[in-house]
Amino acid sequence: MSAAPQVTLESSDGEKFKVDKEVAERSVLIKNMIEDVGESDNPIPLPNVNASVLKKVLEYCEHHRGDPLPAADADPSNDDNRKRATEISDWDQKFIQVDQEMLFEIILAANYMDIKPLLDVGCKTVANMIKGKTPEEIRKLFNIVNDFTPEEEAQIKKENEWAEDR
Amino acid sequence: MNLPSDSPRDAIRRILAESFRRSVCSDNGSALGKRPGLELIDDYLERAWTFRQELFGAVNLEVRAVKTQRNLHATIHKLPVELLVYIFQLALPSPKDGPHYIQSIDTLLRVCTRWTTIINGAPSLWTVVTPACGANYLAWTLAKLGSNYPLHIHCDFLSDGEFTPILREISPHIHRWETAVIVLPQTEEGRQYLSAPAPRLRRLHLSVPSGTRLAAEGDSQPFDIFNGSADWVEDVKLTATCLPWNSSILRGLKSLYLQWCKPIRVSNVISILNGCPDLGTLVFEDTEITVDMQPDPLKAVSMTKLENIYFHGELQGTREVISGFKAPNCLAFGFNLGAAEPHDSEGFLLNTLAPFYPFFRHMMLQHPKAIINKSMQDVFQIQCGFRNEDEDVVSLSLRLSQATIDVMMAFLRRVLGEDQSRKPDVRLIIGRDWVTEGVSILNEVSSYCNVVDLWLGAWPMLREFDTESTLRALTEPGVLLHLRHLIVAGDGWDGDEIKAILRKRYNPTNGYTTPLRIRLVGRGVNANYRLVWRLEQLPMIEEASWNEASKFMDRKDL
Repeated sequence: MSAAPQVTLESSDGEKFKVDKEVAERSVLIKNMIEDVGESDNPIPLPNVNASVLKKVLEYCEHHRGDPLPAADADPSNDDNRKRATEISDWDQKFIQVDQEMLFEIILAANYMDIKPLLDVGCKTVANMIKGKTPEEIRKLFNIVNDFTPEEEAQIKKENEWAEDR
Repeated sequence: MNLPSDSPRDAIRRILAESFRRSVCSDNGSALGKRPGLELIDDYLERAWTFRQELFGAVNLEVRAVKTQRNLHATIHKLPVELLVYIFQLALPSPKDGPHYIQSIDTLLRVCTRWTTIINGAPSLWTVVTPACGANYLAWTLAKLGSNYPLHIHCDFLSDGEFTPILREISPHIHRWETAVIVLPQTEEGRQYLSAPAPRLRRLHLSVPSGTRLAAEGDSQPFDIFNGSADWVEDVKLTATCLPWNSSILRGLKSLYLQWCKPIRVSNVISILNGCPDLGTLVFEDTEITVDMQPDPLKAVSMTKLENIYFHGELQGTREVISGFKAPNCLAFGFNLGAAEPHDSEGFLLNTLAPFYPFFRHMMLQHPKAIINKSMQDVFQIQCGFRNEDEDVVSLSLRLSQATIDVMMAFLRRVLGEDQSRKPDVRLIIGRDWVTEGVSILNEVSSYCNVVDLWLGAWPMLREFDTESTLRALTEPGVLLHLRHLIVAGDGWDGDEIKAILRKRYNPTNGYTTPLRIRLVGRGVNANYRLVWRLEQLPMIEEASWNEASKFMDRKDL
């Protein structure tokens, strides 16, 4: 039995990762590159992804290598899709339990490499962190400071008195 | 933006000195002369006050600019705007929730100026049109109507005068409406705005404008909204309004809810059902059904997807409609026949409802003592409680006064006693009004079915029921042999009493072999974890647990 075809990916800091082509092709970017350039022994450069993030991304791709690929025409406004959107599988939840820095790096890498399911897992995780929190709690969570002037804050408060009563 | 090279203190001093020189001092640089007049002093004070305001404003802006600059370094702001917008969409509730959605947007708007800018610049986040959250939000939304995203209109509880100006703005976008929870205008102008087709509409809830006299509305002609053209509508709720009953909008529905509507004829209902083979929910609340035909049961409409049915209205019309369709997969079947006499109710139960029984998954028979006046104490109210998720267990919830128990038993004999070879597994819920005859009732019920789950005490918030006689009946030999799950909620029950009863029930001579799972509902029952632990030590107790009443309100627990 012949070995599965492999490709080599090169991170922004020069580290090389040899992975099964099937795994690498979870990324639409890489899939298109392979299709455009054809198979070659040269490493595929990923200048926007460093080695530690690429390692995590490949761990995700490896775990999901057999999953069906998302339909390109899935309607994101469909409510059922949205409802499902808040659900994250157990493995994915464990996988995405990383510090914020890494979480946002994974989201950026998934966006760059065009890995929609991973992008969704990352964004859903951030959305779940936001849900149910007050503005102050959200600021604390993401290390943001309140940059409204006192006048702006007073104005917002006045405009939104309907919300205060609830 | 460049940070100032000097320290904040020096920067403020510099701003202060420059501003002071420019704003307060006279042209020659002096503040006040040696002997200033009153006018000069007032002038000085005014300029000093203005200077103070400018100073505070300048400092605030300076500080804000630095803070905004700082926020750009927050890790989350590494994400591009489109990803942040996507995250916001995921974090927000469904736009179908209307005001709740806007309330959540408001939270996000108040985090920082960057988020405010991003949210305000994202039309996809501004798709809910509702005046419920104040004029600002309504104006902002109306100003962003230029996009192509589906719109969710939540404009109920408005008068004609309040709704018409909004309608004027949103009616050119009617092709984008996906949700319309609106009042039905009573004026020609208002109705004109609603005469174009709504090709994306899924949900239509129409109610009468606030301040409209219902009698006057009842006299008006039905209005064929959207000219009858809204092919994707699947959920219609009409409150004190009506459409022509042959309107195309009432075709292909998945849910139809009529509340306080003008009387509808049996033939109209049957016609609607014929046009809605996928209907899942059918509700008539305080809506009279008038009899203009008697459907032939042999030609009954087959409604295979109809799962939830609720009728609240006149008995005769309800009876005719029920005989006009079949719902073999019905999960919840509710009736509220407040105006029916006991005699009628009995006939209704035995002749109309009983044949329908095999389709029930859960039925609650409730005596409405608490909600009707005393002279009507013997009147039945029959309504479904909640949906039974366990497909293998039929639920019967009995909440009747003694006066109606005989009728109830006749009903059970009719619906459960026909096929003695196959006793269904039943969840029996005995509520506050079942105060006596515990053992005989348990015996009688178990001759028609296997009571596998028993819930004593009904709703935990009702504190006046008495579960004692029924609970004690469990200790009689042979009662509820198949019981595997017991839920107890009630006032004044001591855990030790329950323990004593169970110990007696599981005395080896009584022959019970089915392990029991017991759950005690807090607040009423003096249960605690220690008690639960002690119950678990009893032989035959497979599991004991304790819920606080508030948690128990989620009946999925069952």
